[in-house]
Amino acid sequence: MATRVPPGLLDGARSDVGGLSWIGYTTAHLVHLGQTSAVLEAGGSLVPVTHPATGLMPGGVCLGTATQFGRLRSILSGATDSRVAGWCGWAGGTRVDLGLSAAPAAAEAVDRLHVALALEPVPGPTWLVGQVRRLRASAPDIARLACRLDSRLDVAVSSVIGAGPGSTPTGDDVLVGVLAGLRLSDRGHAVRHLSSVVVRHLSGTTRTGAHFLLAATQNRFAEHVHHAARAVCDRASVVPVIAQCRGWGATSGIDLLSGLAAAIPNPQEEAA
Amino acid sequence: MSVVRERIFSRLYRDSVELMAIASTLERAEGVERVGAVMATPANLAILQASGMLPAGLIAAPDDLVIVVRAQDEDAATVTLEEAEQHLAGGDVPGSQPSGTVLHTIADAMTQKLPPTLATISVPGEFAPIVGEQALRAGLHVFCFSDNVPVEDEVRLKAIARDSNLLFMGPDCGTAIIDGVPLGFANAVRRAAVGIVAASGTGAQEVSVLLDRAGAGVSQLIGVGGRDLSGQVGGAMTLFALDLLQADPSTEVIVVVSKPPAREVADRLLHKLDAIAATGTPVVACLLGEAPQVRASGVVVCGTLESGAIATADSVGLRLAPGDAPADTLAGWRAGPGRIHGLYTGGTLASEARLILRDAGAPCTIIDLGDDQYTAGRPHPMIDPTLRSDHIAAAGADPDITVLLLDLVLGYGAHLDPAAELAQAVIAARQRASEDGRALLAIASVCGSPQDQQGLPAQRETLLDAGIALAPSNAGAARLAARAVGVSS
Repeated sequence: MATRVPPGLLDGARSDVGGLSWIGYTTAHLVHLGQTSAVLEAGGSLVPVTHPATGLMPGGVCLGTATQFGRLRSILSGATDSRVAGWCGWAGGTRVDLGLSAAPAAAEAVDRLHVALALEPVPGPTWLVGQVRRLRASAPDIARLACRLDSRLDVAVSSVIGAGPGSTPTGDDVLVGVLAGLRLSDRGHAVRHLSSVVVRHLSGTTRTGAHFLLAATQNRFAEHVHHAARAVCDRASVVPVIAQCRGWGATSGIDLLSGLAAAIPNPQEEAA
Repeated sequence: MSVVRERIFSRLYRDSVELMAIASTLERAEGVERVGAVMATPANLAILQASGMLPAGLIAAPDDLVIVVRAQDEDAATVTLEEAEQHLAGGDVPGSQPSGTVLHTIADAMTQKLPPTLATISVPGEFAPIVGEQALRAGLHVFCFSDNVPVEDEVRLKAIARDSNLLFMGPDCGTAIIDGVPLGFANAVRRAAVGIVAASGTGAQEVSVLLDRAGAGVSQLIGVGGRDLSGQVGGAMTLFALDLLQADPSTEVIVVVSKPPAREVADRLLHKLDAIAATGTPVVACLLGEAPQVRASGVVVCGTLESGAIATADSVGLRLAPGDAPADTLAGWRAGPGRIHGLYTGGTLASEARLILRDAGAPCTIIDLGDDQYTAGRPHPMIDPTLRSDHIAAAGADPDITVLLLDLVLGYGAHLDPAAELAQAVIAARQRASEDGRALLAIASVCGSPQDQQGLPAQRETLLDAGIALAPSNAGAARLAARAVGVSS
């Protein structure tokens, strides 16, 4: 028997205005239950349901309070059936636009961010450390090829997409970061070029990775990406942003930030 | 000849933190050369192939999780894969769960036949206030290891605790010993008559291990979190803990250990300590940076951890003289230009070193790698030394640094062999400096007792073998560093 979401659990919840294709489906399936997020599937779409501290994800729902998330988690962890019902009639609560707009980068912030990221250690076994570093190091090349509309971007993306640890592999996080960085620096032609290549290669990654990559090509980024973007605009935000990013998965936050930083041209160098 | 074996878990989603922990743990088993736990995307399969880890004939889709083991023989590979499957089936991370029943909520814990009296909290900081409040409302004392907790939450939770006659130790509380039970990083020290209230984790550890060395022991060690004596928190838990120690029959001497408190809080604290001393209980206030004095009430105020431990030992009739490193420790070392670079895992140890070096006029930079800004989203450097090793490597390439000043903290919750990692990092940094034609001296002290699980003699020996100069206390290490740059402290 399907597990029922009780009335009131969605009070105060927010959803991604660009990712409501699952609205109207009365039953979802539980794909994964974590400490701060539950991933559901409805109508062929993934729906990340998150704790307020995690923030809203593309195509997802962010619950209004920690207590509500705790209640949902408790209900789902005790369920014997993967089906979740009770969404019928819910219209998405407060709808949030997860699009990133162009923002001026600060030279000091960008410099500081690059130095801090270079010093950032990678957790995990030695063989994995090298792999993650290689994937992060590929970000500047990908950004450059995208900006030059270079056809070699296809090969570069295919070697990165789906690569690395986790259900959203490191390479995917780096690519989401590059797409965010290109959006922030207002390089629409590069965004379009990279997006078209990424979409062609989505079958090379996991379903979760593809979900977030596709959203990024449509200019929908998780709220934590919006927070991370502060690091390139304000020097004082660099340390707190890096500290926050360390908390997203094993390496996801720093992978994403590495991609984002690589796609931001240093304003001083540009002026020169 | 190695064998490569795999197991595929169709459409299984697991957090990357969990998968990496499983791979790291399984890789340490005997006979296992390498373990990979990845989603079977084309890029990951190519990486496995390039590293000789792709099993022949593997058929898997990008949403499948594949565990690959390269082992010395078939048996080792099979056992490892079965162990991996058990971890994945149970959803547990090896080494992270206690044996026995796993309880997911405070409410679950309270339904046990033998309900708990204390909760330890080490969830990420943004969630700690929720769990902390649940624990207090359930009538539990709280030991809150989590850091990055907003100060407003700390003030609120401590008010709830005091109203309920409960301790809220923390947040960012590294050490406590309650009725002989060690919590956090506490060291294995004797039980005896000294009651310690500490707004400083490693400060309390240094004082307790120095007292242990003198033959004294600890009745209770109540950690209160590093911000307790700030103006905002106002010493709420320190003052409450002092009341508890006064009422504790096993406590005969009281010591307060803290970094410099806010002025108005220091006045209130000293007034309270005067009142305790007036009852005949010896009191030592070890407040870093305060001018040493004996107050009219008899309260002894000390400005370093070392002098605080000496005064406390004295108050129970024991002699403690940690002293300095032997005179020949720096034999062959020629002081030159450059500065001392302190890379600390213990915050109060870093503060003590900074004070001593500042007073000596020695050029230095001291970094506390256990500070919130370095620990958000990653283990404390006393648990995972990787971050400090990276900083040591960077120091090896910095021509301005001539002396590395380090701490090595042992204890229940600390890394099981921190000296090995530290020694390796120092050797590599010195090698790098040498390639640039420079000499780099490393000086350290070990904060640990002979009963600590890491083995104090073996840890010291590992550091000495790596050419690291050892001092008998953190203060002694700072003085030795000052001497090494030609400054007399």
